[in-house]
Amino acid sequence: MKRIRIKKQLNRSHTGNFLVLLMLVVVGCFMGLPLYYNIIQSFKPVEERFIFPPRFYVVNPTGANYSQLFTLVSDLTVPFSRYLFNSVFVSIVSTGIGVMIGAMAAYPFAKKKFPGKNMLWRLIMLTLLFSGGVTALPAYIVKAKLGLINTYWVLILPSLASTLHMFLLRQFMLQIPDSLLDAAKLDGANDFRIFYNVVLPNVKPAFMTVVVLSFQNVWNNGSAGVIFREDLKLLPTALSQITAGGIARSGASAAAAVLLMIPPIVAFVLNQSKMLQTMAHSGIKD
Amino acid sequence: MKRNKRIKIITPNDTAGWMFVLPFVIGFIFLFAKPVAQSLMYSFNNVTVGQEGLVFEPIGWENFKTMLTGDAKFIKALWAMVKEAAVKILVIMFISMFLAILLNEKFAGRLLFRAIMFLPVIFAADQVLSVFNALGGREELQDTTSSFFMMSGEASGFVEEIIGSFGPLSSVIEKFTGYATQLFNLLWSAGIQIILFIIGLQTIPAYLYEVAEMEGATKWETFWKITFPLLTPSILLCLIYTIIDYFNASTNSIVVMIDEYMLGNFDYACAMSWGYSVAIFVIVVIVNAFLSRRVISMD
Repeated sequence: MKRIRIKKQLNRSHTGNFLVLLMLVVVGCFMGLPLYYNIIQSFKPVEERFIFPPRFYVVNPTGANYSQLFTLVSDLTVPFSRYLFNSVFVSIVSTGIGVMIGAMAAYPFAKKKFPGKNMLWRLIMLTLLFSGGVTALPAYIVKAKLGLINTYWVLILPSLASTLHMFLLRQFMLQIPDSLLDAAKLDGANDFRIFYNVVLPNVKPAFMTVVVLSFQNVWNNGSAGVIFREDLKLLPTALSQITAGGIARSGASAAAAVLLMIPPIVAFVLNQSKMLQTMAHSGIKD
Repeated sequence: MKRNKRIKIITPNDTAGWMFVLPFVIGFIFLFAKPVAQSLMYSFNNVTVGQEGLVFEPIGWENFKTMLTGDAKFIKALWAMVKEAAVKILVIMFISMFLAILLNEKFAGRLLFRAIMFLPVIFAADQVLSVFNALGGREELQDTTSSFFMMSGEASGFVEEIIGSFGPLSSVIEKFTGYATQLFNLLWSAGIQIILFIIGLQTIPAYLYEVAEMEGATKWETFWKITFPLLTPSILLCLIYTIIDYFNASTNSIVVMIDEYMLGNFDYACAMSWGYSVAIFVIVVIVNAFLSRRVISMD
């Protein structure tokens, strides 16, 4: 059967179209406002930053907060580029390996049968219910006993097995028709080929979304509590150290918050065409 | 939709599955399961810091007894939270489904609006909102919103005057504006759900809509007969995700309470978080049992 695209716009009036757009603009404003406020805050001079009720505009925009941040950064014992490298390195490595491990684990949970599958799945899902604080102390002890404290590993390893990402990917893999996998198997593809050439392309938008989500997560996590060596600290931790100085440095802190948003934006821009595209068609006709 | 007699080539006992799961499971056991199990062990002990590290003194169910009977704070906070969560989670679900349906339509500027809805995924919602919420405590967020709408601080008194002029209705309106100020937080916690719904919508085959159009179904009918039923798997997925996400948010009152106890009374905090997790588990199980029978699948 040939796929027929609906060319004709489904009968909707102009007023309807306008209302939809209006609604989206309003919601978009609500969505964008906190972000806008973050940015505007970093351009306010001190006397405007603490006005209550707060203003959503700047009277005298200033770059002083940024220049203060740069002065503070250039006075550091460890060069700024080192923190930047740490953060970029850790984020890219743990996102790259982590999402792949998650996708690999998701595949058999979605499409295969193996002994102990259901029990293992339930066990893993149960741990979604625990918030991070609960396991903080035992997790630290485990990390210390494995000798991970003050190494890159303590930043990378814990983020490799993310239950949430695995769960999301599995839900999307469930929707791939079995017959597609059977066809690949009949053509002589082994399990890894099926995973890499059939399953992954079919869940690409979800996969890319998880990549961006994971990057953002790792990037913002910081290294407080597990890294005590100055030259291994991550950018958010380093910047929060620098800007922790009360009101005097609150401008620099606002500027730092805005600058830290840039890498997640880059990650998003690089992936957005794949994330936002419509789901790949299953390629199967029943 | 699918032929019933499909040849099963994937055999029931496929150990290759284990190969794929193994890396995840190893990481999971060492860095997640072990700490979780240990925290359960801690909650049955009186944990103190001695010279040789942690000292354990078994006390049985003592911590749990205190939590359920002695400490009125926990049960009270939990109940308040469940009530609040029920409303908020429903609102999040409704907003995200509605927005996803809008964003799935074809219109000019769709990509831009999709990108805007991705904001909570691109940025850490907690951090972006913390600057915003720190404007002067959460109670005063309402002033912030009204000042935003009037674009100036001085005018917020004006808003209150208007609200006051409605007389007996004013408390209703106040409540409503109170909910409106929560919109920022609710919208920012709906990011993933919108994506889940959009992807769910896109798995609905286009030919079903073609058939519906041929048969002369209205948009309204099409929604209730095709879109909604086939979206039920996504609804269940989103609902469970939202519940877990909501209850485990680091700004959540009970999570904050547990974190506070963590510093002084560690074993009690562990017991509390286990009690909390069990409560979330029960909620998820109930929701799942109630809804999974109503989920309609394409097969």
